[in-house]
Amino acid sequence: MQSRDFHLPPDADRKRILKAFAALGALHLEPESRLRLTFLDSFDWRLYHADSLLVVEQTPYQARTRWLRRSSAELIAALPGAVARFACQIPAGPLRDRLEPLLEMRALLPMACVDLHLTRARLLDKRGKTVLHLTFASGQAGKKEETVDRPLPERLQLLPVKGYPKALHRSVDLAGQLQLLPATTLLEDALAALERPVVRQSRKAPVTLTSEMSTAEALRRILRQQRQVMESNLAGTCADLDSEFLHDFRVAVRRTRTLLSRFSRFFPATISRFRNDFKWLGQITGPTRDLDVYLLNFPAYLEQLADTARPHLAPLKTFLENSQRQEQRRLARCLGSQRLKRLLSEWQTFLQTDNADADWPEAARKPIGPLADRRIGKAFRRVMRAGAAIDGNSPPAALHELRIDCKRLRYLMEFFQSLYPPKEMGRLIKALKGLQENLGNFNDFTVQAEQLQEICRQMRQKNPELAAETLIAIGMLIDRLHQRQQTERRRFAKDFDRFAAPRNLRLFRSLSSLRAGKEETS
Amino acid sequence: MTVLATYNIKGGVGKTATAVNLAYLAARSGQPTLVWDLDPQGAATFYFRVKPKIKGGSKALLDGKQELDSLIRGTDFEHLDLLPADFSYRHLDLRLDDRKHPTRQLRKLLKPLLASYRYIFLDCPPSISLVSEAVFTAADALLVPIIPTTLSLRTLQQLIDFRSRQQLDRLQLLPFFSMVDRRKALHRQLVDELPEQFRDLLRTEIPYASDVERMGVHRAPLASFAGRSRPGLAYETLWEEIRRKTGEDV
Repeated sequence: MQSRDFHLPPDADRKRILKAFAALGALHLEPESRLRLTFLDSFDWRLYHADSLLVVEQTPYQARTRWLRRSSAELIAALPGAVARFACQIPAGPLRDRLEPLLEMRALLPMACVDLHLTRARLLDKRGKTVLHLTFASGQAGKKEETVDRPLPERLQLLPVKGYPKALHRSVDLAGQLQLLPATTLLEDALAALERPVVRQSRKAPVTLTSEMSTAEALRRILRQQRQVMESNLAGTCADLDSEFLHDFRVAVRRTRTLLSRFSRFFPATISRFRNDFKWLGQITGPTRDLDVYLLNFPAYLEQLADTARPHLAPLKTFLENSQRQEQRRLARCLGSQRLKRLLSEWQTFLQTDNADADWPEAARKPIGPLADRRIGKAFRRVMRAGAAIDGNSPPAALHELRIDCKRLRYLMEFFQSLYPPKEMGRLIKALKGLQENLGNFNDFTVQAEQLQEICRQMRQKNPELAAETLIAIGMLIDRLHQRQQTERRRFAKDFDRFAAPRNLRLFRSLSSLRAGKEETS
Repeated sequence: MTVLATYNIKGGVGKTATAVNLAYLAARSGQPTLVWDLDPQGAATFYFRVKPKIKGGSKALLDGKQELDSLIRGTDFEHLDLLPADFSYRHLDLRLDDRKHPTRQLRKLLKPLLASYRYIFLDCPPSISLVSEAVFTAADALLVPIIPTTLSLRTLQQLIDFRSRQQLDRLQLLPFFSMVDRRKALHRQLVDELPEQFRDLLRTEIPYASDVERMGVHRAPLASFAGRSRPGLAYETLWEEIRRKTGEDV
């Protein structure tokens, strides 16, 4: 049942309000109580954006987790106790079934903690039956359990009992007469008190540019956004909250590097030291990410093998987990270093010098629009050339090169997305994504099959008595990866043709007119 | 969803107390639970302080004129709802008899509620009638309270025979001793000897206790006012045993 919530004015007199409600029927007052609520979500608010709320409710005696629909407060599922950090660790059942596809690899993190002092009363009918629950709630909010100190507006919740709608209607009317104002949800109150906005922390959110903007300013804006993504994912990466923090961090580094190298002649000469530092960042984050990918893929690896062979992969999993922990510790040390702190702060200073176009080469003062057309067009033609040259005899290296070309094209399209009509650009990005998936899978299977052999060698070095069954199971896995690599290879021609469809080619060739059209409409 | 019916051919054996107390325990663990009071006496409805009335009576209910969901009332307890009794249920047999496939009617009515509730308890009137047969078709298991007396055991045997005659093998029979007074020699003797005769008999016994009778004074389930009492704890053990037997605790 959906509750109706009201904010109490700061000087509200609870006794007077209760007295007014007593006119609707007998009121049964319950002992005062305390409740701690912890609202959980992923770093990028996946549950919030899926109209969901996951909240752990703790009284001094027990805890339970409830999953509610955010808009209606309807209960979707409940679980005794607190909930695990990852959806895959939740006991099998409806809660896990529905959370897993939403959260994927993302961890559940506390987004707001609320301590409430509750005064409850029940409105009774003439049989003594409860027909409505009234709850006065006052309290504080905090970002973490240890810092719950921001005061929240006091609220009155009217929770109806199924089958007794009249009691709710009368109570809502009365709340209106008492001049109580309809309240936003408790989470909204808490986030407002914490000055914590709900943002979809996405590396993909396009940065807003205009065609006339100077190239220098456009580049700075894109790089500022990438720097922001690095900064916001840094703490989560160091703490290894989930693998996505590092992934997003790395993507932002890669995008930054791509922009620095592809547009090198538009930057001041001072940029070269940053280029080296970002290269270093790419290198130090690589090994942990590789191990993360193995661990994320592990359930899929198991599915590749027969039931009887699966248990024999356990030593591989333990080895990967230990290596990941080791690499993660090393990574956290590097990310906590003075070198990174200095890099991020100097990089910020460099990007903030809005009026320093004078320090930039002459070319960077020209508008970004035509340059974006040319650069995307050039990258596109390169993909077309390389893709058309690939046939059944091409070596894997040729597909790898094409994968890199596609990635560059994709970055350019996403950097300059706001200059073009969203519908057409969306279509082209989608078409490219399809091809990238094929090339990405091909590359992943190739690299993983190769690296698994190396991992196997390392495992045997550490433990010369490694069971033969484990070696056989890893061998079978490598074989399956080869088979899947071949399947992707066979699919390539079809996926490339789909990307190179005449309609897409036309769109790519008319980028400048598309951009002009967008400018006219806006 | 699991449909559990508290049933005995004989009256006054603790059917309603069982339905109300077990439903309360199920709801307390966070599982959405419904009690359908099918007994025109409306004892379960009385315990939950709800008006024993449904709009249009049993005729409107069976005709589908009233959606079951609109007749459901929330109780004073979280996750626990009630479909109240109505005096017209005394003619439910006749109403069922008027319809095609009378024994399938209750199952059909319950269908729309499957998604909303984890447990549905049917509190049945005593006797063996068309209503009982419809309950047997709708339920996954029958919880059969038996007082350790000769007559009670006779009715249990009648029920077992009826089940095999009607080929209701799908229906799980879960008899258990209720209102056991260990001061009485006959109760002691039957409770000790009977498990060998009836293999499906549950091990938990509900003692005869004034706390159970006081449910009528409090108008609430036992665990809400005397959860640590002897019968209160016995109902908890019974619920755990039933969940094990029905494969619910996996």
